[in-house]
Amino acid sequence: MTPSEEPRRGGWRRAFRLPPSRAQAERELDDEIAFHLAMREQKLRAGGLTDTGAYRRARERFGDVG
Amino acid sequence: MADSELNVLRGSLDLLILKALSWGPRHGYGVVEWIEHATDATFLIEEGTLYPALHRLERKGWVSTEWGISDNNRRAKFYQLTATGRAQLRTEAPLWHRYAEAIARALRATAPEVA
Repeated sequence: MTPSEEPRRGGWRRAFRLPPSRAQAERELDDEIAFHLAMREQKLRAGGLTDTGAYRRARERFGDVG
Repeated sequence: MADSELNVLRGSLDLLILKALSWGPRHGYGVVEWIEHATDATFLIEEGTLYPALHRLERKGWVSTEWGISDNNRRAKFYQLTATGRAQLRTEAPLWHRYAEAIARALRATAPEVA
């Protein structure tokens, strides 16, 4: 299979309704968290914090109750 | 925290998430914002609590997920209720109201005697 014929990341698994691979699941979770933190930062900047302040405050609330 | 307390908290959070999704798909941040607003900031959900809960609901088959584009043009994962999840919300929400009212009634008691 040539590089141009290789399925997009996750394409075969999605086509056959297979669950994502562990590596893909971890990448997706990283992307989800990154989006969430970016949205929180945006809200904090809109509330008057500096870029640095918003970056730090957005990550302070990341907690784990389990 | 005792296991029983954790189960009550998890059940409450699960129900709030299902309710947040009852009007249509939301990403995780949108779910948190809705819960904070709907509870008048009584519940501030942290990411470390939210995402395990969302993934638990997905494993149970109560929500499904799809990647899409957010209102501000960012790639985001959206959660939506499945038919099973909607049925779960319809069943559990009235039970929760009953439990909450029963507890509130007991806590309002002003006399120790049993009638």
